Amino acid sequence: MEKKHVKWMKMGVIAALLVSMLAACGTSADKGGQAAEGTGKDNNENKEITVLYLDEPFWKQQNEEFTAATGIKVKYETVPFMQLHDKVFVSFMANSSEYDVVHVRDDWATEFASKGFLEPLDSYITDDMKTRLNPQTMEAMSYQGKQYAIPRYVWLWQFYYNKTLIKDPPKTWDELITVAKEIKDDKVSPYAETWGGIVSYSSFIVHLRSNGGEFWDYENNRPTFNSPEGVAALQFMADMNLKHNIMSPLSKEFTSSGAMTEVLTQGAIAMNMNTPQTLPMANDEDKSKVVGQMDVALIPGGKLKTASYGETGGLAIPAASKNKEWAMEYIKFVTNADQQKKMSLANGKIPSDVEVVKDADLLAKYPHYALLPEQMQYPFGLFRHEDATKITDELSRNILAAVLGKVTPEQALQDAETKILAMIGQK
Amino acid sequence: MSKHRKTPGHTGWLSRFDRMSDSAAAGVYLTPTLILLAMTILFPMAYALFLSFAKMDFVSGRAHFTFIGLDNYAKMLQDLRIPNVLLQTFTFTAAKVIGTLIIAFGIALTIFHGIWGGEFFKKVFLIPWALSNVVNGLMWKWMYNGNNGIINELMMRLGLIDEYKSWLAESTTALGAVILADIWKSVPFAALILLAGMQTISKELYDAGQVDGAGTIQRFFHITLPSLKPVLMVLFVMETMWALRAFDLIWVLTQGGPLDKTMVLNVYAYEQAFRNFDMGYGSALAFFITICTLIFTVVYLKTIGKNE
Repeated sequence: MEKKHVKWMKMGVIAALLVSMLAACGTSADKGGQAAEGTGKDNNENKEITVLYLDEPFWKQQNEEFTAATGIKVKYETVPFMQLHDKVFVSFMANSSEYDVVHVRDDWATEFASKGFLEPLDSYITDDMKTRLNPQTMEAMSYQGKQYAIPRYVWLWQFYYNKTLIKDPPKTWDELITVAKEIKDDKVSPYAETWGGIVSYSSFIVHLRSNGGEFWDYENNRPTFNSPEGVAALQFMADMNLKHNIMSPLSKEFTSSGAMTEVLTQGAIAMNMNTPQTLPMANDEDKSKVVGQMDVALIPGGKLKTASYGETGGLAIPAASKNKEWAMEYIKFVTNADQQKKMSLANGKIPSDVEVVKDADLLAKYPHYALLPEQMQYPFGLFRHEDATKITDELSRNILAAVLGKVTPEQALQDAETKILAMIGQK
Repeated sequence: MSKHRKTPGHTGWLSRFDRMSDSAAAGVYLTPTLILLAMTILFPMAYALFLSFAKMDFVSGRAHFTFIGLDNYAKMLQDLRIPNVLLQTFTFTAAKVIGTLIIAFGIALTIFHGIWGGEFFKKVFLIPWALSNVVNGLMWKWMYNGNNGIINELMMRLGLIDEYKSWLAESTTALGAVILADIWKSVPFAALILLAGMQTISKELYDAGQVDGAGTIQRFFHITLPSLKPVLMVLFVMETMWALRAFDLIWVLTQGGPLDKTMVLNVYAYEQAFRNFDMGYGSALAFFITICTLIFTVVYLKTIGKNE
């Protein structure tokens, strides 16, 4: 005869299954009820969007202001910037609707839009936006004539130098070599660039542009960096490291401009091309050893007077989002002139709004903004392509090999070109 | 005696459930777990296997698959980066396994012979093993930092280097630095397993050896080492399996760089799938790793079987 406790155990399992099934039905019914009520009354208290970006105080404060202004709640998820691309991509791959607003930069906007991951925003764009937002940044957020993201800032490189060590900043790259060799402080590396990981292509683009070269023939979808200008640019980078010995040995370790800035604030680097965070961090009395010592100039030039590199940061709506209208409300709010000014005052990001960038309060806080209009007249945009990440990863590996002296610049660019052509199905 | 036992008083489906044999009831109890396992293990594996035979394109945000047979696997033979990736994987695996076993053996011996040890030490000693790979990676990344890392400072003070080095960014030192960080984490577990093995060796064997005139080294080679052979085999296979699957620590420290010098198969599979959008090739690489790991799993199971 079956033991009594076994019988009761069986009964218990059935009861547990029934309870969980009923509970599931109950939850579903409740959610549905809430949704119906929210839609019916158009009650913003029940509206919520999910936004993915960085764990920085300003963005959280901005979300709170948005909720206060519109009643739409923001579920804010954060991720380190270096992981942002991959996290968004994985979400897109799963056709997930978990995010309603994601941050994109120029190259990601193209990559994601080409695969249909982003919602075209043309129908949402107002005339006010068209007049206010820098046309170069709007272009950076578009793909095949359609707008896929709204720009809110530019993260533009400028030239920062220690004015206690350098009297006159170099105007050309050749002058930079001369100036660097005049620095006699053994504890200071004259110059640094970000060559680590897979980001060395960004410095290369600046040198290439200075030489009058182009990175890509967009019309024929072919790389054009393997040119006399490109080889000269890469040769110059290798010479700075191996022949003139002016580079910080940490250059090959820097995988981001932020890492380079941290070393610069310790007084270990005299000159570099860097992002707008540099001066505020250098003048932070709690952390910096070079308070009041850094100044800003146009990036040295060659054939062109100057050239730069800088990403446009924008906000996009995933095609799978179920809250596109609310997401667009959010984007309009955080890209308006008032919020852009607050953003810039809080974290130094250069507003995409052409009037805000000239704001007196911003110019008073950020003297380097005065040079922005001239710097932005010259090329600065990121390389944009459906396979941008794959292409720049490949090129960066070859550039690093060349600047470390493992291969010649000619060989590095030839190898990169061959592999990239194969990647994109060209010969 | 029948396995079916009817309890009077119940009717309908409840009665049928009541009449179930114990094994059928066990099946019912296990069903939710089995469904969960199938959803979280079998389905992703089957999906990845399918992807490895397919080309994935995106149209209007939706994935479209084209069956391409073994093309993704054939691509591995033509991929010019694969020889280097295999070399780095082999070097990483061999150095990590051998390094871990040698250091763990040394530590286990010193504890076993009471040179150092005690319960407190055994517990503290487990901390590296308890750390997650990501935390371990971040910690070592700071220690290797070329600007203010403690390893540079220590080596400078000891006169071993003239200037700070970028250990993770130098193509000559990056792999070694990654292997060291992995060994640091792996040693405690291996040492404790070996210590447990040593404690099962009969003391009479050592006494007999001593009576026969065997010295310390002879006792080690003729008593300790042969007695620990099964444990060493199990550890060797397990450490090899873990080394072949290494990803998170390497991703945190170097992401496979510089110049692919720490690019092992798992990191390469991730790069292909999630940075280059080539899910098919990434899945094929992942399955190649799975096959390699399975081979070691079979060896492991056979080793366990022999021990039993």
